Amino acid sequence: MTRIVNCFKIEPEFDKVSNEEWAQAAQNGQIELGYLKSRINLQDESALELALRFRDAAEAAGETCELSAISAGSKTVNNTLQTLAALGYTSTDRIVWGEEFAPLRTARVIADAILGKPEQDMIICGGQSGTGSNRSVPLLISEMLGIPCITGVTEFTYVSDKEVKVTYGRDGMEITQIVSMPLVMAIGDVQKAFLRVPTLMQRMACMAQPIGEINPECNIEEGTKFRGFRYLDQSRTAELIDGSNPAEAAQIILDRLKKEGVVK
Amino acid sequence: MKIFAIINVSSEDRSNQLSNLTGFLELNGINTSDVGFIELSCDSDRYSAEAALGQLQRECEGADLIVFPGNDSGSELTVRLAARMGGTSLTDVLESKLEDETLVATKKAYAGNLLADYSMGSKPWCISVDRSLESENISEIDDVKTLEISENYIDALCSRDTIVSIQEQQDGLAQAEFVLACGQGFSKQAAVDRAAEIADKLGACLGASRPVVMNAWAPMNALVGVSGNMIKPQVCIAAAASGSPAFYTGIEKSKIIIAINQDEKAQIMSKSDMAIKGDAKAILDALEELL
Repeated sequence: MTRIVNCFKIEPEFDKVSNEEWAQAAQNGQIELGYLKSRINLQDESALELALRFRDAAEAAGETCELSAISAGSKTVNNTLQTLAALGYTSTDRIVWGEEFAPLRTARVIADAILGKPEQDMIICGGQSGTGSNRSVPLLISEMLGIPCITGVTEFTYVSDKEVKVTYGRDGMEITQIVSMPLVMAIGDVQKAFLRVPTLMQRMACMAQPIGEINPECNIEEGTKFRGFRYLDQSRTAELIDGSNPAEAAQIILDRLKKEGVVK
Repeated sequence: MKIFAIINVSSEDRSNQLSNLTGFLELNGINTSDVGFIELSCDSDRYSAEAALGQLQRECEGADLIVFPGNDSGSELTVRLAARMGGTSLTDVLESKLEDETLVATKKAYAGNLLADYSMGSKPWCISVDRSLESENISEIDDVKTLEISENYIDALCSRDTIVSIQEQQDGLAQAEFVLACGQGFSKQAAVDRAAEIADKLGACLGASRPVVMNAWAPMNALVGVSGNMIKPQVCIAAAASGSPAFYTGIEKSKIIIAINQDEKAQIMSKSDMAIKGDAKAILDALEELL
């Protein structure tokens, strides 16, 4: 039996906010993103799909694999937790949590939630969130639980109930290694690893599965304290050209490419 | 202030790490002669963060500030060393300054759309440097302490016997003089293949934004952006890319950026030198005909 817990985050679709809105938000000192559509963090999504593939392979080899999922956030995570239940996650928990820019405290409440579960073989997280982009939470969970950590993971496959074959990137190298569990893995960018969609039958079959709610107690202080934000102006001259006539636009581009010496 | 800067020579990119570190030190007015440089030395198949941490913890005792490069191993060591030494950490730092005995550090947040300032608490302050920072004038550091990673610290993760393969990832794009970078507007394999054909005729390297690569329409080593290649060509054509900060971080060092996008309000348009409002695929087809 292999036990895997995925920790994931739901975050707003930041790319739907214009430069002007970011500038305005920074000027006002307030960021309200509640109106935006939310989605699973992209690396967290890959992590969930890779865990499902691992379970499928383990089961095909006659082994059992138990998946569980934890997310720290508001009730908006419940839809995704229900989807995961439909896909076969036998335990789905929401940590009631609203803090951002607090990786140490977030890692602590997730680590505590993991400690409240049966001993896990793999703890899998996306490598980085969009909000704070700190790349810290999986590493801090690893430190708190005293479990080795591999970052930049792009694939992991079943070897035995004690070992897993992991492919990961580090400083321009791609390394494949067979490692023992337990293990914390921070997932990097993975091609074609979008979370599968459950069927209606799968959804209906798990409607009675409850979503656990964890109200954490966290007494540690965040060492690195968020103070505030500023707008990052990256604008250039932005000479606007009407490209409705492709041939004319192409000629303008070609002239510029020749001027810059990249096309003869 | 007692400052250390760490270079991991088990990685191939020593000069990039040095450029990254000195770029940060220069920008923040820290003289390299005031910094104790430490090189972590071992074969790449013997490296593990665990082993490096054990020795750094001893070597950096009493440090106020420990600076790591912004590569994968640097960022990992930043967070974990601070956790072990009772210090505080921040990754991908752009700027820092001392304010009343506290280090105030700045990095990108909200997917790169804003800059966030942080006050760092207990020492040692462990930071990794934003990958975009680099020094134009890297001079060899005279006084570098080499720290051989000791077998005593080797853990299960770096046992040579368990490694199945190690491959160097190609990084030709990072050195290219001319790049055609495709965005999400090229949302089919055939469209990306066609862009690759045109790039080839133009003498450009093909790059791609995250959505294009994650759908496997372009190979992983074509990824341009914060988690991929940081390019610095003479010209980058950003075709049908929205210009999200994660992508833009990868092309911001381009001397000239030519954006082609149907949406005049797309972020990339204001971040370019030449912003062409139009159909990127049709314009690239027309460009090919002119060659």
